[in-house]
Amino acid sequence: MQRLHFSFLEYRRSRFLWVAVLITVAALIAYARDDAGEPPSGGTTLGYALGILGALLILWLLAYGLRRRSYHASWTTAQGWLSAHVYLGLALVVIVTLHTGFQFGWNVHTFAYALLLLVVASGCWGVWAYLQLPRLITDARGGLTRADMAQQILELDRRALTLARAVSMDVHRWVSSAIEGARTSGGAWAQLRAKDMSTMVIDRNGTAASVPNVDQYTLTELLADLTSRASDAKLASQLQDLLALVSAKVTLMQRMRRDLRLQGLVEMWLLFHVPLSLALLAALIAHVFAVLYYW
Amino acid sequence: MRARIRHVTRAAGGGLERRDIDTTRDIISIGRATDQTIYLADKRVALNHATITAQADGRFRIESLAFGGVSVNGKIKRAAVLDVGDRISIGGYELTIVGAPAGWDLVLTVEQVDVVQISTGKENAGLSTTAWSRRRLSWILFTGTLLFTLALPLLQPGSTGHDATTRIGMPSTAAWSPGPLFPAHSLLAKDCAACHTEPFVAVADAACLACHAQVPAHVPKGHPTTRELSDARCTDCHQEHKEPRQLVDARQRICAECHADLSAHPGISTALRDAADFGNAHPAFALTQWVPDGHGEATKWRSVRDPDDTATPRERSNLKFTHKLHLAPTGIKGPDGKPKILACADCHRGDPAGRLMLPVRMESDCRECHKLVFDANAPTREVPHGSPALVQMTLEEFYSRQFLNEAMDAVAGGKAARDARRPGRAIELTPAQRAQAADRAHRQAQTVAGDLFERRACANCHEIIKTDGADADGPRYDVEPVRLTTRWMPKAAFSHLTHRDAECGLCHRAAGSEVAQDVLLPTIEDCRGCHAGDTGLGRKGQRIVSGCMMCHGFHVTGTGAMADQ
Repeated sequence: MQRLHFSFLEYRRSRFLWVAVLITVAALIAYARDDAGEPPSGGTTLGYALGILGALLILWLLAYGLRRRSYHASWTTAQGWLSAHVYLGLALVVIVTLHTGFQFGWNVHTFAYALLLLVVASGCWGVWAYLQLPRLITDARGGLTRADMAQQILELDRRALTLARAVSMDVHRWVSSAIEGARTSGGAWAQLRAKDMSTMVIDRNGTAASVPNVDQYTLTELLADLTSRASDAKLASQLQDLLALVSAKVTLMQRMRRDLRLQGLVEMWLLFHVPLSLALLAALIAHVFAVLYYW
Repeated sequence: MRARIRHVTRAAGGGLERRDIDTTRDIISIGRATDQTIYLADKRVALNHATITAQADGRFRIESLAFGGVSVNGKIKRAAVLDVGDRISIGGYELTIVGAPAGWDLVLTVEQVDVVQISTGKENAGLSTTAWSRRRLSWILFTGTLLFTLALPLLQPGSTGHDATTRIGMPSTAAWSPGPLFPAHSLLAKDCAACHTEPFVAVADAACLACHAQVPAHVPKGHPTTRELSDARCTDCHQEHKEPRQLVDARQRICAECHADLSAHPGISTALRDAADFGNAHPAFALTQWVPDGHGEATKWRSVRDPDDTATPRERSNLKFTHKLHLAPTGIKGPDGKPKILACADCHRGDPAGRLMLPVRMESDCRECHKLVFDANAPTREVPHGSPALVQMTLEEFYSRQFLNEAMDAVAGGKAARDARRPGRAIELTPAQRAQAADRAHRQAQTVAGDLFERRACANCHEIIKTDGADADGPRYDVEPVRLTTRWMPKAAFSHLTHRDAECGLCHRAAGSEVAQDVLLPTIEDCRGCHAGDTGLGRKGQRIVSGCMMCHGFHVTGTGAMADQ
């Protein structure tokens, strides 16, 4: 059976995997065969060569950030760029490790190396996120887009308001304020924890008070209380319908928050990858400057 | 004022529902905050959006507190005076002023005409919209890293650095040092500019020579040399800040680049033969030794490199000696007449550093057995180990005394009478008697000298030149001078100390040597038994890795100081 989808890792039969392997093996052979007459380090001829290669690779990998923002860039497709970015980024670890000659210390040079490892590690996290999370997101959405969910919630809200108007003024106010206070999003932590920040306003001793309404719990309590005290069969049936609508909305909102949480996880690695990359650029500048300043 | 706020809700069937809230406040506040008199649950409404107050003329005035104003009868206004029937729109709500019945100052209805929009999360989805902005974090980390790794160290330049900023824990140029210095250079660790005299310029030789002025050069000043050599810098071979610490680049290739084929460098002139690797590309050892020119007192010694140029060089020390006899397994006659088995160390001693052997000396190494006695009647008397003239004078003195005493014994009537003579009373010899004694002594001395020089003590070890005298003095003896070579290979360093666990005979095959002319030094093949070249792989398999630097140095003593070139 012919596959319709190929991940970026398999772009053009993993062309860039082979490029990366070639560079890595060449660097390893050169390192093993090098006879500098001194301990291997970044200061030997091979050390300088690996360092220049590593620095050029870092600049090229950083350029991926620019390529992503450009829709009419050339050379290759966005998928091809990503594939090359991932494989050459991994090859970079080997090249730069050989460049160090395994000489580490408390200095800017090792600091830059450590930053590089962190950037690549966060990149690996990103690869994992891009390969795993979209499937989880698709599963979580159950065939709906987020706009679909929002539309459904809106429809549930319309029906609930109409129903609430028919019940009573108080119920209409509750439902209206619960709709107004409903939240599916929030700050970064709230998104990642999928925490429900919803509130609603209730009448407490004659003044309006804002109270939490996690999973529409407060509203459900109020409606359920009213239902249990309803003497009229028609009223009870209306309230039951309203409760069913609220319950359906809770399910949709939970699904939506889970969707946001997964998207947050997809995005979160970039919060490390991109700022650390720029820190690495700064450390690289300092590293090269220090080496040339005290040549 | 007395006001009634009537919340109106339109039911699905078209019926109206009302809920009145009465208030007596002077100011009616409208907004999304829960403490407002008229609470409007709509995000488009400000927390405290507007107020309604009574005017002096009994009419009412609405004033917008929000930036967007309020819509009165479809027109956006900051403030307006209200009349019955005016419609005020705020967000999704519509407020209408209705006629106030008696007892009421103001009545208005509040109706939600537009269904509120749920916060779908769409507009606030994704972490990039939160405080965790990638752009902000990137700027912080980029500038922070530049500040701490580049700007702060640069603030205090090399030589006096490490003070102002390090004292408060700030990074200095010490953070730029890629590794520790060699222990001998540790004094310079805090003074980058001691070696790195100019920014962006590689360390210059002058910085090294500032301290190491007396290090000898490779070739003498003015000697024809190659471009590679004249362009070479100290740092080509001597690297700092490396771990493991290694100050000398001992790669054989550096030497072999030129020495593998010296003829390829036509500008230079040298007697050195090509060498590239001890294991398989090194000439046989060329021995430098003292070579006598002339004979006897007229001998001039010259240090000659490889005078024979053959595989079996001859020593020219003018000494006669046989190792075979001295090292006989059954022993050799010792000082007490009994056989004594000699070991190498009985005669050969190393220098205090344990590197080379000191030359063998008659006084300390031979004389215990080789006593220079000359008269069987006087076994404790010896001639000095000196010039032939001194030997002959010693003999004449000895025998003059002997024959004069004999003459005096004859005059006095025996030795006992001579010894018992009274003080001041001399025994008078006639001139004839004295002349006779002197003549006998001279002849005896000559006989004994001939015996010593030609047959016994001297001739054992030395080459003797005998010149027949025309007069009565008899033959004249001369000894060929002796000069032992102590350093046979002055261009190579060797230490007996590092080889002390090896038997002497492993390298020096002395036991079978019958003449002193045998050079008992090991050949290159002897050394190759254990040592191979740079790779350690010799013709006989794996051996000790022995690059050029194991025996040879780049800085050759006697070429003058590096600083002068």
